[in-house]
Formats: sequence, structure tokens, C-alpha cells
Amino acid sequence: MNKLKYISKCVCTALVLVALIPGCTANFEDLNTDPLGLTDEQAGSDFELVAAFLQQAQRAVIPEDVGTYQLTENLISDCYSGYMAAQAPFRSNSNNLTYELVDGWNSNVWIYRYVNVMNPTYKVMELAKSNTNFKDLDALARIIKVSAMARVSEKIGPIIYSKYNVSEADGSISYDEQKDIYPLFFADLEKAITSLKELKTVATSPQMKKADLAYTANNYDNWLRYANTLRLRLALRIVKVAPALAKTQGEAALDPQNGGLLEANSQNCFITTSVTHPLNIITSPTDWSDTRMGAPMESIMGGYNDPRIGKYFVPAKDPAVLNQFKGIRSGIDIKDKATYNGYSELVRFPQKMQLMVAAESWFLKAEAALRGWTNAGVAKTNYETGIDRSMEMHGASAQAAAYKNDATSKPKPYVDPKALTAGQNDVAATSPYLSTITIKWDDAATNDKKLERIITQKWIALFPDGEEAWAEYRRTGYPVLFPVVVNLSAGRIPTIPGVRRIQIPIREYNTNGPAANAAAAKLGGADTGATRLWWDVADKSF
Amino acid sequence: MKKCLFIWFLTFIVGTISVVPAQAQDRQLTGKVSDEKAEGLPGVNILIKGTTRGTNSDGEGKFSLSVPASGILIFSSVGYTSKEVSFNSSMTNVDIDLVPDSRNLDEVVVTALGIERKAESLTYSTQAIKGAELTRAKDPNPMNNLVGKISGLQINRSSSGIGGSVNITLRGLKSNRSNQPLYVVDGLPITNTAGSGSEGSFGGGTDRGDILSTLNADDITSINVLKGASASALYGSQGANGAIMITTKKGTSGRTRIDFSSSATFDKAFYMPKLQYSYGQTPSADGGTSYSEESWGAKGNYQDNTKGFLNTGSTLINSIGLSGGTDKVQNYFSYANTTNKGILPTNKFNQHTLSFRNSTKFFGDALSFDGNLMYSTQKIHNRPSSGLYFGVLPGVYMFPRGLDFDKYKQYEYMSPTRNLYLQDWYNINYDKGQGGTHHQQNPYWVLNRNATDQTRNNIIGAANLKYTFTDWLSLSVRGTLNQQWNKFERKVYAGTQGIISGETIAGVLNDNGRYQREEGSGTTKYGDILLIGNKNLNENLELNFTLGGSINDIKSSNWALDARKLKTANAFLLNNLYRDAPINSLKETFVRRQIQSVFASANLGINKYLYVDLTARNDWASTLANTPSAKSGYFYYSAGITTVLGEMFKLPEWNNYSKLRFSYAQVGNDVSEFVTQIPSAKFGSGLLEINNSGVFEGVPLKPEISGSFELGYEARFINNRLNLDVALYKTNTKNQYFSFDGPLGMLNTKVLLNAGDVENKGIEISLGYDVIDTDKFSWKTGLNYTANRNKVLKLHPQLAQTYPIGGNFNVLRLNGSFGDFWGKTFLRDEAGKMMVSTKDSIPLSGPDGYIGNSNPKALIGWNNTITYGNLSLNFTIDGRFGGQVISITEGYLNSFGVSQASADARDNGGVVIDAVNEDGQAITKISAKKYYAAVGNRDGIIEGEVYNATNIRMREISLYYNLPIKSKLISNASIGLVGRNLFFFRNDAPYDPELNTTTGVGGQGLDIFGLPTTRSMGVNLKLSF
Repeated sequence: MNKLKYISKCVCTALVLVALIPGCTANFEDLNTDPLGLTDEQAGSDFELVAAFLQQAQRAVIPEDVGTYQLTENLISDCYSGYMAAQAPFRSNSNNLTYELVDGWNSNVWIYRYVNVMNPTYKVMELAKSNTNFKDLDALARIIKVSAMARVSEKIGPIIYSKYNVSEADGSISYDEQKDIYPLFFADLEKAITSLKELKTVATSPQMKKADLAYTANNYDNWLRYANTLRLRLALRIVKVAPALAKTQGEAALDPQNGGLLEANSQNCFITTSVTHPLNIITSPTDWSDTRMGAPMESIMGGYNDPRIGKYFVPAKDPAVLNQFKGIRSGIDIKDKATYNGYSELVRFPQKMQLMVAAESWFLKAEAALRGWTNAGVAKTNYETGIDRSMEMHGASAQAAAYKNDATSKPKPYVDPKALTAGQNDVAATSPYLSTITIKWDDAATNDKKLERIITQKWIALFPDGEEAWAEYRRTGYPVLFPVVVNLSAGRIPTIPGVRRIQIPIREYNTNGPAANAAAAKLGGADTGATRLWWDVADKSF
Repeated sequence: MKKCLFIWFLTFIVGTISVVPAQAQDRQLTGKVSDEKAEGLPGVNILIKGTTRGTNSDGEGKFSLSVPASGILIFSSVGYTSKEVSFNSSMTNVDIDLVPDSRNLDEVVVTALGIERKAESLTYSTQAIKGAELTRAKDPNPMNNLVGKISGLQINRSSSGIGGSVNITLRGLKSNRSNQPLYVVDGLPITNTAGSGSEGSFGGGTDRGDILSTLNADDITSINVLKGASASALYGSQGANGAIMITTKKGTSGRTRIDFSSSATFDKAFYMPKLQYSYGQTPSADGGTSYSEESWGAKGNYQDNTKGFLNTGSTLINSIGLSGGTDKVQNYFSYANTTNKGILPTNKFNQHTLSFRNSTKFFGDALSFDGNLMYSTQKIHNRPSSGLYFGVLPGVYMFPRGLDFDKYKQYEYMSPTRNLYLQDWYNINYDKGQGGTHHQQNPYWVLNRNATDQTRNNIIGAANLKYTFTDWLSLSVRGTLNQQWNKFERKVYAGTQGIISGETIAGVLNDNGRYQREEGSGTTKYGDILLIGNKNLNENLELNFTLGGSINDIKSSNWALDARKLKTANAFLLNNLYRDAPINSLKETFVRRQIQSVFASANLGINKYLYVDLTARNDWASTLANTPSAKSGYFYYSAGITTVLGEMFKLPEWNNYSKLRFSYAQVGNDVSEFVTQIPSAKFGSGLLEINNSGVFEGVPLKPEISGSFELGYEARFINNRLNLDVALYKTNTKNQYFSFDGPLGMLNTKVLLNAGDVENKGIEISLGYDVIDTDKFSWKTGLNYTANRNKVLKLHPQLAQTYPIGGNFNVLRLNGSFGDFWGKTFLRDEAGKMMVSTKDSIPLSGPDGYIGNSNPKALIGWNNTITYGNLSLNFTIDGRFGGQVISITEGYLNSFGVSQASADARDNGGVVIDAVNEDGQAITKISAKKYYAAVGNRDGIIEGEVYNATNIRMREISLYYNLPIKSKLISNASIGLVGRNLFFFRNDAPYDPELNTTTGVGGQGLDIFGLPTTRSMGVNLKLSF
């Protein structure tokens, strides 16, 4: 029958068509290729990818992203160091600053650095294994990695370092205890220093020029000096708990054979950021308006008549304290943001992030000299050069001589006219939290006094790097800062001696449970803000 | 690629190659079909026996058909016994009566792919609703009219006013990615854009509306809801959450017709937060001017500033439909427009919809064409959004008591220092050094100086060519194209609160405002080819089968600019972007996916009482490229069986009909696009973003799979007056695709994996009863009941057992269920008593924990239609029982001391609590200020902001009068009074729990200064010519 034949023909055609459709899956790989992805060709041109790895890492040593900066720096160490204070009563004033530690904030310290530093630096070091031309990038990667991860460890304690990207049989990734991490830091720095010493005399490679966000000339020499200074910084950090290692590493850093420290301000390490300095947005009253000058800054710099105070802060606009340099005490009762709106804002910073300045290296050397380390020079000279470098950096050299010679000015009492309970936030002249240390070097002073003098001046010079300032405060107990007034930790964190660290992120307990628990068990105390880090000994005497 | 084009080409011409000789032109035969009451019977299928030629009767039962000299006409209609009438050359008119079929009152239903099937033979649950029910008390988004009328269906609206997007869930939440059902217009799927909106408590995002709001309700003949995977398995992964099948109107043959409808409704906010006006602003500590945002001050009698702030909104919907045709060609054309003035001042919504449909038969009816073109355009000014950023209501609700609100209606002042107008608000004034906070701005400033504009254009074009080989076999080739263009713009003027305004560069750039702009377009193409057979193999054996293949291709791109540095203040132009700073916020995004499928289904009917249903489908998804399932695709199937008991056994007299059904279905689903081959870096915005995502522990991704069982029973009793449909179901969704924040010690910290087992089980009951059924007076009532239980049985064993979704308080956690809230709890002692501090009785916060779940335990809808002569009254009452919602709004109002609750507590000398302090002493009352400071806000003890979501409301009332017009011109006229969302019989929450900050995944059951719910009332006029 003709019709039936015709039908079956059509049915066959249809079936063939149906069967052919899946034949089109050949282009699925193209369809599923992200148009935003970098192709191999693009990755290679001008060393785009490898440079991007290193640039991302440099921009994350101290996060350039304003939201992340606020959580990882500003609402932790910028305030705990006494530099700044939040004027907003975040979370109904129940937050880090009143010792109710907020994991949702603090976990960013960990998350941001692992994603943005550990990941790309690891990739650069992997690439360098098979490409001898990338020796310089390998060195830079290691320096950046140590710079960032030291900051993480100094806030939290144990971190994942030697076992990064290595999972155990149960899928967990093991931590290194803090005492084991410092030798690893030194090993990485040693490797970088060796490479850079060799490269110092050769022309900067195009990939290094592209990747380097800090220096545009003498790249290798400058990074070598940075690495040495970092080595000295980390050596002094452990001087009370591992004196022998500290001395070996410190003296290696000081050894001129190894390339020297950051000596002049032209060698300062500032990372060019891709966005406005985060503090500008955090402090500006027409932007977030969340941070103001810290009360200890007012007390110490104000007491010292420090010419740099106007280079750091803007005079207050609040009628009650008009034109004074007025700080907020951290950890107080704040009802609303408007109250302290008119206290001193921060000045606006240029579009670069301060990682390390020459002044610091002179103060480090001053302490090294105090400790009698080889090649450390004379403590007094180092101390005064440190002040000079800082004054010079802030355009206040003219006042430096008089300042160094001031043997009477002391930190001044603090008064808060806007306290909710009158007088509650004040620090009287008789308060034990008001130091009597003066500026002028005194060779006859005790080592404790000398150290306090050095660290107090270093604290002023380090601004706005609250992370380093808070670490040194916890190590040495200097400068003398004000305790919190409101403590909402329900006894978990004693007001004296105050918060010592932040916790291991909840995300780590959730996703890397066995390792996080093992690390917490070795903290030497509960995983709270009260437990001291390895190098944070209770006895602060020299 | 070439091969693909070739196939597409073939697909399109396949119908046209099959030419059969056209028949000689015949004469017209007209007539009328009536029912047993001698009233015209519409929609009767009229077919010339032995041919495929035929037509349908029109609204009055009339028909016109070109016929050969003589032959036999078959008249068939659902619920009536078919009749054959022979005609000869002398006859020009045939009038017949059809008698109701006592046995088969069943309907033909539109099932997956648009295939019509006898309801009796279905092995799964569907529920239909007629177009008339949607237009009775119109909502600009027709989907809102489904509430309470379909069991198993839950609708949550976004609190973004008229035309806002809706979130429909069928049989519970299943996926962490999308829980939206598939929307199908005339058998062809359309892609619904995720409505979205602001998710975080800061908010600021704006609902972009969804495609559903662009549909004209008057174009809809009926909506059929396929609730489970069994029903929609033929649609594959897109149908995993069920399908909403929309059938649109067609022209009728033999006559022309004009339908006009016009409705005017007025909206008023009716469930406002309860605010206090008896305590004033918190005074300043130093006695000076207070800039406090809080009202914990002196007792007094203060001005109610919310009065008169919100408008009475108005919505006008006009639509006209023109239709007509011959038995060869039928056309339908419609135009509708919606004009709305929102309750939020300045908010406007405007929409025009055009639709054209043509059905033509060729080659002696063997080839039929059905084409459809729908165009819509929307313009929305200041669509309301939730959240604090750019929120209008925070400033209205929280304005400190005792200050003069009216003064700030003049929302700007001339700044002497900047020589331009800046915001004036009690705590925002640039020249007074007051910067305010992100909690609030001057609401009039937000409306006028942070205004948004959105436009959306949408075209859906569909074509269906069907060739009928014989009376039992046909081949269809169909395609649909859906193209949309969206724009969004927000102009943020200089002087806006700092956190959300332009950025400054010290000494270089002031806050010059901020310019947000987005443009996007998307194309969805779908094509399929279907061979459909429908054969009675013998007297007792009936076979329906479908064999087909389809291709679905989705492509969209979008760019978004968020410029916070402008050269000159308040010039919102791309040319005014400040050029010496990098534009760190211009981003493009892309979506691209394609799914190709082959599928088959067979339905075997035995002795008209046993039906067996089988479907099988294999999908190949582009998103699985480079995985083991790339080549093979993924296969899944469904199987079902149903028996019509009355045909098997003798049923008792009172049971007119009984049917039992059982089915099992699997549905596969692909993964997100672009995740199976991840580049080492991506272009961010002027920076390369280094990749840190990848599969977890090297395990390649695979498709998700969900399996569902359904058991159902349908019956009619008491002379078919009582009907019942019960469905029990259980669905397990396994191997869901997750993008998870994994361990940070590995290179890939964003891990991609398949995990989980989410179970939904539930019961759906629909009960209908014709209480009174006389010629003059009738009352039909219907009840829908739904209860769904959800449980997360499995997550990835190695990873966290609490998985955040949506960025708010929603989490997915092991042994918990979808919609769980996870947030800060009260610290409790061993006896479970709330603990407060000993020092000053402040509630202590415990760890984060389970604080509630947004899903209702049961949904009940009760519908009634009462007709008396020309009058008809319809009303729907519906209730949601159980479940919780979080009101961040109330939390803020409490902590700022502006809620009535905070005033009552102050009047009573504190909040009455049952607590103990740290020393174990009982505390029964604490200071309202201290309590709410600890509990309120977005980051207080959220447990204290959780409310019961049970509510029962008068959903819809309409009263229509059919005007008894006896006119040649007007065939039908009616006028109706309608009301929607009239009042609550009960509501335990401080806002309407049906409203959401977002219709996306996560963000359900949360209110952050959303627009209050509105009551609408109006008139509706319908005229037919």
C-alpha cells in the first residue's frame, strides 16, 4: 500500500533526524568555555598571567580591598594597636572592640591571604621549578608569601604552611605550630635572599618589571633589603622564646654581605594598589565614616607634641573638641555613630600600601644593638636615625632635632567629653596606663626603658600598619596602651592584659575539622582571644 | 557546526516536502451545537469522518465548516457522548444536541510538550485553572492569581510592588540553585529570568521582574500545573520542579469576536508595622543638638510621620482581543496595557503587551501551522526595593520622634560650599558635618535623588508545523525564540549618604554622585520534532506514543557599570566618568548553555481501565563538556500505571468514578555553565582574577538526579457533585551540584562537587463540591490542602554540615530542612532558660544555631463560586499554617525605640522575660532599651526577631453581574467588583509573610524594610462583541 510506505518513509526520516541531533555535541567544549577566561596565548603575552599572580599576592599582603581591609585590619589590629578606633557601634556595639570576637569578620584574615597570596605564590614557585628564567619571580613569591603569612600567624597562631595543598588520607590539611613556622619563614627568606644576591648586579628582567608593584628601579636590590629587614623583624619577634635562632637569623639579616637593610626612605616598600587606599574610604565622612584617630595616638603623639600628628590626622570638627587632635578610646560604650563623627579623621593616603619603611629597620637595629647582635651598630644612633627617617618621610625633618632632644614631654592624659557616662573613658595623669617614657635617648636608662623608648617611637613610625604595631605591642608590652572600658566577652578575654589573638576561623573547623582541632589542641590554651601566641610571653621584662 | 545547521534546515523543511494533492474547494456548512438545556455548547470538536478536516464550535456553540457534497460529521466534546450526523448536498445547516456522558466526565488535559491526553489515562497529578479565573480579579502578574487554587503550589512574592517577580514552588524546595518550575507556553518552554532582588540586609538591589509579569492574563485560555517530575519528565531537567503549562487563546472559526476588558483597581498598604509616637528622640549626652537615630527619650505626644506618606496606588488594565477565522485560517490578536501608580510615591509601572496568533491549515488540512508572536514592553520608575541601602521606608519608620518630619519634605538645601543642592536630613548635612549612617536617608531624597529606571522588552515567537499522516499519526516540528532586552539605571546624586554615594579623592574629587547602569539581553531558542501516534490497536487496546528530539539553547550577556567617581557632580553620562581613576566596576557577564535531547513516551490503554505510561529521555548538556558524561549524556525514565476502578469492578451507586494511579520518575539535571574547564585566570574588571575553584578531590562533576514516587486517587461521588483528588509523593534529589567554600589549605578553595540527598514528601488534596446546582442558583466550593515535609538526608560527608545559601540566614544542614534559619541564639542555661548578664541584665548571646524554618507546615485554599441568575460571587480564602519568618524590620524598629512594642515595654517598666542571670537568679523583667539593643538590628540575637508565619487571609472576592443586554452587537457584557488581598483573619507576624526580599534561592521568609502588603479593590468591565 502506497500510503503505508509513505508513512514509514516519513517515520524513518524523523527517526534519523532524532538520532542525528546528539551528533551536534562536538561544539560543547566551545560552548562551555568561559568567555571571560584568559587563553594560553593571552596568559603568555607580556608575562600577563605570572605577573598577575604576583600582583594579586602583593596587593593582598595588606588587603587593598576596602571591605576586606576593614575586617582584617581596621576592626582588629588598627584598633587593638591604639592607632584608630571605630566610631560606629557595629553589631549593637558587641564586636571585636568590646571583646565579643566576630568570626564573620576575623575569618577574613585567613581566607583572604590563602586565596590571594598562598594560591598565586604557590603557582609562581611551581612555574619557576621548570623555568630557570623565573628565579627572580620565585624569590619575590617567597618574600611576599612570608610577608603575608607572618601577618596571619601573628594574629591567629598556627597556620597551614608546610603542608599547603597537601591533603592527608582523611582529606584534611595539617597545620604547623607557630614555633615550627618561623624556621620555615626563615628558610623561604634565605632562599629568596640567595637568589637576589646573585641577581643584584644584573638588569631587571621584563617579567620582574611587570610583576613588581613596589619598585621601578633597583628592583632586586630593594627587594633584597626588604627581605633582610623582614628577616630581622621576624628574628626579634621570637627573641624571648627562641633566643639562639633569633640571634642567628638576626645577625644574618644584619650581615652587610647579605645585601643590607632598608636604610633610606627611597627604599621604602609601598605596594601600588589598584584602588584608592582603603583607609580613605573607611574614614571619609562622605564615604563610610567608620574610623577615627585612636585615643593612645592623641595621648602619646599629643603629649610629645609630635609634628607628625598633623600628617596622620585631621583636627576635630566637633564643637566640643574643635580643632584638637581628638581620638576615640577603643572598646567603649557607643550609642550611635554620630557621637564621634567630629573627632579626628585620618588624613588621606596616596594610592599605595605601606608594607615596610626604612625607619622601622633602624628601630629594629636599635633593639638588635641593645641585644648585642653583631653588625647592629649603636643603639642611640639607630634610634635617632629611625626618628629622622620617619620625620623625613612625613616632611617634618625641620622639627626632628628638637624632637629628639625633648627629655620632658610625656604621653598626656585622655579626656572624652562625649562619654555616655561622664569620665568613664578618661585616662587620668595618675593612671598606670599612661606611660612616663620620654623621647630623648638616655644611655643610662635600663634596657627595659630603652626598649620601651624604641618600641614607642617605632609604633609612631609604623603608622598606619596596625598589624605590625599590634604584634610588637603584644611581644613587648609597648607602647603602654589603654585597656577596654566595655568587655562583653563574659570573662573569656580578661580586660588585662587584653586580647592576645583571634580565633581559628569556623570555616576551618567546618571544612578541615581534624586538622583545625589538632592545631587548636596545641595552642596551649583554649581557642579564644585570651590565649597567648608562642612568642607572646607573660613576662615582658627585657 | 555545519552538520547542526543542516539538521536545523532539514527539521524546518520536513513538513513541506510531504505534499499531498489539495482537495477540490467545497461548500460551507453551518450549524449550532447545544447541550441538554438547549444552550449553545462551545468548544465541541467537529470532524468530517475519514478525514482530518474539522473545526470547533464557538462560544455560542455555532460552527461553520467547508464540507464535501456529502459525508458524516462527528461531534465530540469532553463530558458528552459523541454523535455522528450524516449530511448530503441539500443541507446547509446542521443543528444538533449533545447529551452528557454519565461515564466520562473527564477532561482532555494538556500534558508535557503540549500533548493532549485524556485525564483518565494520566498516571500523575495535574490541576488546571481556567483563564476566566485568572482575569476575575486581575493581578498584573497572572501567577499571583494561582494562590489558593492549586494544591501543592506555594507562591512567595517579592516586596517590590506591582509587576514584581514571584517565586513559585511546587512540592517543596529541592535545589540550592533553582526551585522554579518550568514555564511553558503552548507546549514550548520559555525561560524565566530569575527575579532576584536584594538579598543581604543592606539590600540596595532591585527586583528586575520576571517574564511572567509580561504575560497578558486575557490571552490565557487555561493554566495546567504539572506538579511532579512524573508529569514533566519529558521536559527533562527543566521540568524537575514541575511545570506551569500556559495555553493561550486561538481564533475561532466561523465568526469574528471582539473581547474588551477594563479593570481599575486601587491599592492601599494595610499591614503596616506598629509604631510608637509616645517617646521622643534620645537626647544628646552633652545636652546639645541630638543627632541620635533612636527614640528612647522623653514621654510625650509626637507626630505620626507615616500618615500620608504612602499613596493610594492605582492600577488600570485594559485589554482588547480580536479573533476570527474560517475553518482553514484562524487569527487572534490582542493588545493590553497596564498603568500603575504605586503606593510608594513616584513609583510608576507601565506595560504594553501585543499578541498575535495564527492557525492555518494547508493541503486539505493535512498540514497545520500554528504561530504565535508575543511582544511586551515594560517601563518601571522607582520599583520598590528592600533593605537599608537606598531604602525609603527606614527613614519613614525610624525618623526620631519629636523632630519635624514635614520640614524634610524639602529634602535638599543649597550648599554654600559646593554651590549645588545637597541632602537635608536630621543627621545628614554636609555643611554641618553630619554624615548620617547607612540605616536611613531622607525618604524624599531617596525617591527623587536615588531614583531607578528599568525597561524590559520581551518577544516570544513560536511556530508549530504539524503534518497529519493519518488519523492516528502526526509529525510536528516546532520552534520558539524568546528574546529579551533589559536596562537598569540608578542615578545617585551628590549628597547621598556616604556609604552608598560617590567616592572622593582627597583634594581632587568631591562626592559627585554615583551612576549605576546595566544592560543585558538574552536569547532562548528551543526546537523540537515530535512524532505522535494515537492508535486503537484493537477494541480494547489503545496506544499513544511520542518519539522526539529537542534542542534548547540559552545565551545571554549583560554589562553593569557602577561608577562612583564622576568628573562633574550629578551628570549621569558615560562621558562624565572620572578618567584618572580606574573604572573598577564595569563588568560583563555571560551565560551560555545548550541541551540536546531525545525522548520517547508510550501510553498503553487496556480495556479503558488500565493505563501504563512509560517515558525515557537522554540529555546531552554543554555544561558537562569535559566530564565523563559529556559523550553519553545522561539517561532517565519514568513509569506509571493507573486504573479506572469503575471499569474493573462494580462501584457502589454513590461512587461515580474512581481512579488509582502510581508513578515513579527520574529527572536529571546538569551543572552550572563554565565550570568543567576552568581557565587559570579570568578577566575581572581591569584585573586578572586568579582561579581558585575546581572539583573537590579531583572527582569529576556529574549530573544531578532526582527520583520521585507519586501515588494518587481521584474520585467523584454523589452524582458527580463531589470530586476528590489526593496525591502522596516523595522526591529525593541527589548529587546536587554545589559550589562550596572548601578548605583553604588547598589551591582550589571554592570546591565544585556533587553531594546531598534532599527529600520532600507530602500530601495534596483537592476537594470540590457542587453544593447547589440548579438552573438559577448554583454554589460550587473547592478546597485545596497541601502539606510538604522536607529533610536534608545527606550532604558531603567531608565538608561542613551546614551550608549557607543566599547570604542571609538560610542554610542547608544535615538532618535539617530547606528553609532553615541559622542565626544568633539566646544563651540558655541547662534548663533551657534564657540567660542575661548579672551586671546589667543584658540578654547574652549564645552560639549560632537553628532558629526556625520558613516553610509552612500546611497550605489551605478555599474557593467558592456562587451564581444566582446574572450575578456571580467568587471568593478565595487561603491560609498558611506553621513556619517562621524573620523580621529585621521589626528588629530595627525595636532597637531604635520606634516600635509600639518598645513603647508598651517602656510603659510596663520593661520587657517581661523568663530568664536567669549568670548567678542563677531569676530575672523576670529587663529594661526595654537593653533588651532590644541586644535583640534588635540585623546582627543582634536574631532568635528574638523570629515570628510565627501562620496567616489566614481573604485572598480574593469578586462580584460580577452579567448585564442582560439583548443586542445584536454585544453578545456579552459584565461588570464586576473585585478585591484582592483584602484582610487577614489571622496573622502572627509583624508583616505579610508571603512577601520576600528576594525571589531567589535563600532570602525566603525574611523582611528588611520591604514595602507593606497592599489591599486592592476595583471594578472590572468585560464586553464581548
